[in-house]
Amino acid sequence: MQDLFSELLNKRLVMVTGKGGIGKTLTSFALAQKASAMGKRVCLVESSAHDQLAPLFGSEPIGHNLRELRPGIYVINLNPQDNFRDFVIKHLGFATLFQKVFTRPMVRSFIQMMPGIAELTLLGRLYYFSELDVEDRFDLVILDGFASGHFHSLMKTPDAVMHSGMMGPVIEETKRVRDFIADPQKTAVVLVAVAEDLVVSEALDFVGKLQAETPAQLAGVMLNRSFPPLPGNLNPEAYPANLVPGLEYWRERAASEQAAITRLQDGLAEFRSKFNKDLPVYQFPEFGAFSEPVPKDELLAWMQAAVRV
Amino acid sequence: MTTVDQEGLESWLRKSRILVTVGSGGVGKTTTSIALALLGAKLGLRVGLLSIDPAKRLADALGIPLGSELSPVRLQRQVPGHVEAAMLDQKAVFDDMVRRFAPSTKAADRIFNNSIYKEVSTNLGGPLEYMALAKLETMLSQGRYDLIVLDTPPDTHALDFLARPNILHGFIENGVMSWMIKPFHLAQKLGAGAIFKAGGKVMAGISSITGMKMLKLLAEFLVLMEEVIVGFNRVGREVSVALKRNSTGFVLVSAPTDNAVRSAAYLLQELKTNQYPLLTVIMNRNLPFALQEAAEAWNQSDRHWTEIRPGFEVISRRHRYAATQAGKLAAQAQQLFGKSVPLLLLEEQRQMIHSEESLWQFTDALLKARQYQG
Repeated sequence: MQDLFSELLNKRLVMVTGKGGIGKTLTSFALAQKASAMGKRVCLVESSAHDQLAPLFGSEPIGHNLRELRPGIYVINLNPQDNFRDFVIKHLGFATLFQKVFTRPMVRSFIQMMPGIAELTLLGRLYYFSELDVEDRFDLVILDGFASGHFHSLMKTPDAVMHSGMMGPVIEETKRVRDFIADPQKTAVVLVAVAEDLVVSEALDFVGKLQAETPAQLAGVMLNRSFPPLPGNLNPEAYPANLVPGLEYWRERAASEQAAITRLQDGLAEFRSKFNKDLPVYQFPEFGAFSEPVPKDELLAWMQAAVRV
Repeated sequence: MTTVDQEGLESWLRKSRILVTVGSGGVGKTTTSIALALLGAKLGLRVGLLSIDPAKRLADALGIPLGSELSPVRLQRQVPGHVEAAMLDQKAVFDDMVRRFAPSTKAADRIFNNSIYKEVSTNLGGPLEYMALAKLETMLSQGRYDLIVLDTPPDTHALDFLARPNILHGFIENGVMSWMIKPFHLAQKLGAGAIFKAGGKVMAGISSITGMKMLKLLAEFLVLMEEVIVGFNRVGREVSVALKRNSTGFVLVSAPTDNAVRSAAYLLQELKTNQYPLLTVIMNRNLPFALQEAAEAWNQSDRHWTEIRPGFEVISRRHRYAATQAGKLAAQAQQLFGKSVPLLLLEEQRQMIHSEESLWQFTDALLKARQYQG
C-alpha cells in the first residue's frame, strides 16, 4: 500500500517548521518513527538551547552528541560552536588549522560574532549528515526546525553568504549546500499548522514568502490537532447538564476548524496559480496529549489516522 | 480565592516599578505582558511597555508600529491611566544605539554603510536584540512611568543575558577587540600585508577560510563599533542592577506541555541563581474551567454515550495531562522559592489575540485565574 508519507520520507532531508508551540517537535519525532518503521536509518536533528527531542524518547539530554535513542533512530542537538568545529574539520577537512586556531577562546568569541555563521554551519552539518557522512550512512535526515520567522532567515542564509564578499572554501561549500537545499528530489520543507484562523493566515503568508525568496522546497502542510468530527444530530438535551460545556466546545471547534480549512485551501489554490506548485495538506487528529516518553505504537497509530484533505 | 489573586495582581502592579515577563516561545508571554500593561492603565497608572521582537499581530492589536519609538497606545476602552508602548524592531534599536554612542555623525554613517553592520543589524537574531535593554535604561531615567513592563525575547538564555550582556562581554574579555583592532590600525599605517604579520597565524587561518575581503570588512566593523560596544556594555551593567532591585518583579509564563514546563524549570533555576525577585508563575492555555468540569463529569460518568466518546476522550486526556503539568511546575517553583510564589492557572483563549478587544478578554482571564492548590 502506498503510504501517505512515503514520498516525503524518500527524500534525504526533511525540515519541519511552523509557528512556535504548534507541535513541530512532535511532528518531527513522529516522522522519524514512521521512517524508521519503513526500515530507514534516520538522523533526527534539532538545534535548541535545551534538548527537546531526547526527552520524547525518555532520554536524558544528549546535547551535541549523536546517540541512537531507538533502534535505527539517531538524535543530536547541534550547537553553533561545535557545529563550527565539525564544519571546519569534517566538512572542510581542516583539522590542523582548527586545532591551532579555532580552539582559542578569542576566536570562539569572534566566530559567534560573524554574521550568519551559526545558520551556515547548521545547513552545512545537515548536508554532511545527508550526503557526505560515510560512517553513519543515514537514509534520511529530519530537522526539527526553527519557528517560521527564524527558519525563513535560515533558508536565506546561503544566498546572503554568497553575496557577502566572502571567498574561498566557505563559498564553494555554500554553493553545494544551496544546490542541495534547492533540489526537490532530495530535500523537503514541511510546515506544521493548526486549523485556526490566524494561524492559517500566518501559514499562507509564510509559504508565499519562503517560495518567493528562498531556494527551499516546500512539500506540504501538516494540520495538527483536528478535533474528531461532530456526531450528526447532536442534541445537547439528551445528556447530563454538566457535560454540555464539552458539547458546546466541540461544536464551536468543529465549525471554526472547518472555516479555517476552507481558507487554507483557498489560499493554497492561489499559491498554486502563482507558483505553479501544489502543496498537499495532511490533517492529523487531535490526540489530546502525548506524555513522555511517547510510546511508539501510540504515535504510529496517530500518524495512521492522518488524512489528506 | 479569585479575589485573593486579584488583590495580589493589583498590588504587584501598584508596588512594582518594573515587571519583567520571561518564558519560552509560544506560551503567550508577549500577550501576558500587554495584559499586565493594560491592567496597570486600568488602575490609573502611567505604564511603559517594552516588547522585543513581538508578533506583528500583537503590535497591530495595539495599533503600534514595529520600530524603536515609544508611542502612546490609543485605547478604545476608557481607562484612567495610559500606556506608552514600544514594539521593538531589532534593526531600529541597533541603529538608535549606534547614533547614540558613535563618536560623530560621520562615524555613525560609516557604520551604517559597513556591509557587516547591515548584515548583523538586520539578519542576525539572538543576543543583539538585548540591546533593547538600552531603551529600558532611557525609560527608567526619564521617570515618566509609574510602571514599566518588559517583555523579554523567548529564549531560555534570556536571564543569563540580563545578568551579564554576555556576547559583548565575552568579546572584550577574550581580547577580540584588541586582537582584531591593533593589527588593523597597524595595517592602515603599514599597508594591508602587515595584517598577517601582526595578527599572526590566527588571522591567516581565518582568512584562508573566509577570504581576505571578509576579514577587512570585519576589522573595519570592529574598529567602527568600538565605542558603541563600550556604550552597550555600560548600559547593560546599569540595567542589570536595576533589575535586581526590590521594586522589580519577575513573572514567569508557561503552558501545560512537557516542553514548556521543562523550559520553565530552567528559567526558575536561573531566576534563583541570579537572585531575581519572582512574583508569580503563570500557566496559560488551560482548558476553560467549565470544560474542565465537563471533563471531570465525563470521567465520573459511566461513559455509555458512544457517539460523543471521541470528543470527550480528547478533552479528558488534555485535562489530565494539563493537571500533571501544573503539578510538576508547582513542585519545581515551590522547591526553589517556597510557597511564597503562587502558580496561576489561566483559561485558554478561543482565538489567537488580534485586537484590543481580545486583549481585554485576556486581561479578564488573568483576573479570573485560579491559584493552583495541589
